[in-house]
Amino acid sequence: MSINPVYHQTELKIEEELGWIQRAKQDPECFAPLYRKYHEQIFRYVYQRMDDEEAAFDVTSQVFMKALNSLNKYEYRGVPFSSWLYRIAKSELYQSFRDKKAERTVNIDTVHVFHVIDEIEQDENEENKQRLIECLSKLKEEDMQLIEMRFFEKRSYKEIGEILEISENNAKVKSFRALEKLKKIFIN
Amino acid sequence: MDKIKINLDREKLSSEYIHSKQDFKKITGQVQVGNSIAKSTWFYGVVGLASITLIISLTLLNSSTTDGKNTTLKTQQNTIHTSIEKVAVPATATFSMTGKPSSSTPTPDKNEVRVKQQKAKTETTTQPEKVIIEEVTEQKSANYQPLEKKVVVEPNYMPHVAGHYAGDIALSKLCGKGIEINESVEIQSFKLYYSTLKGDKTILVKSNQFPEEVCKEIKAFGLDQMVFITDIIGTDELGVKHQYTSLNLTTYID
Repeated sequence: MSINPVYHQTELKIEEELGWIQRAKQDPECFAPLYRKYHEQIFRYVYQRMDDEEAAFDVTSQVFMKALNSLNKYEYRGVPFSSWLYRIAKSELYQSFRDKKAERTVNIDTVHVFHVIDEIEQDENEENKQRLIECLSKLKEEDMQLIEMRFFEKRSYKEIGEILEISENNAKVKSFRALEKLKKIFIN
Repeated sequence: MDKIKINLDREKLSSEYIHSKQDFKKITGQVQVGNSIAKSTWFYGVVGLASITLIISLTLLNSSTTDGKNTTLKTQQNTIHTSIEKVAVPATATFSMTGKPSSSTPTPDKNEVRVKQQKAKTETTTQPEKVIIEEVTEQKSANYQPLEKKVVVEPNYMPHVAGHYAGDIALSKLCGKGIEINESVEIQSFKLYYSTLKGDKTILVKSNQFPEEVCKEIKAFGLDQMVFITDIIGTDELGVKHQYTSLNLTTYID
């Protein structure tokens, strides 16, 4: 199941959002609907990458504070407001890692591990499961985040592209290459 | 960044629990302080005064000759009296430029370095990952000094399709000769990952040619799409099997 079933929205919903944003630029209190709508999504994105629950809630709060403070700089580009929030979240996350306030973690389920094993065309058994987990920890951050978003969080390439500010096709290519690298590490 | 920590099967947090942790007042608390300053009359007054002073200063600096005037500017909050005096400027000003403008085109090096490949010239694109570079010396003048270094060119082991190693390729070329490496290697099989109108597909092809059905599906898809060619297996002149580097190409309908 996708971590993010509400990401893709109708044009009507996006327009509704735009109305909230315009009002929130005049009055911060009007930011509340956006905060309520995206709080869980952003928290789950952050918590997926952290070990400490309280730290994840703190970072989530930082994301929305920053978003509200920078709301006048926000430009509507025909994509959900959440894609901008995810970019802020990514920045806040990596800042907290750099400041050593949090540890970069990947949280996965066994079922996701077996999906990846299937993708790299290996047998689904306990030995390979442990081996893959070890291989995942050897991946570079840029490859890990692609594997994480595509195979653990089940995000679409379009969504991945918007979060990473690359095209959908490029997201597909990069995800494919990350998987190839993982496969190489696994085989070797 | 340090090694990544992996947690397996961590307990999930419920939506209700996450919602209970929302605190919108904490978010707006920090923002309100900034806004209250920005909205005060005092703030706008200072900003307005500073802007007008700046405009007047720029006007004075830009004007070459002016008549002495007393002008009165009225703003919403303040009335400013200005006195413009005559500014003496030399009648003629001369400017000189020295030096020649730099050439827009870079001058070529004496020793031209080319990447030599097994096949004839290709239309596009990025260079193969491993290439032996041969320095080519040309006798351009009597004073030309030949290079001392000479590097032997080895056969290229990069797979390609009609000379394309990456980048854009016409569909007719993709579906033409198929995958090639060099004269001593025969391609046995490869995997192809591509998109169709019904979704993404991965197939195993037991030759070096792209199947006709695949070419039709790619054509029907219409959009410029990327095809990924992986697990390329070929046999060398001794009959030994090798796996070669993957490649990806973006097709266009010609």
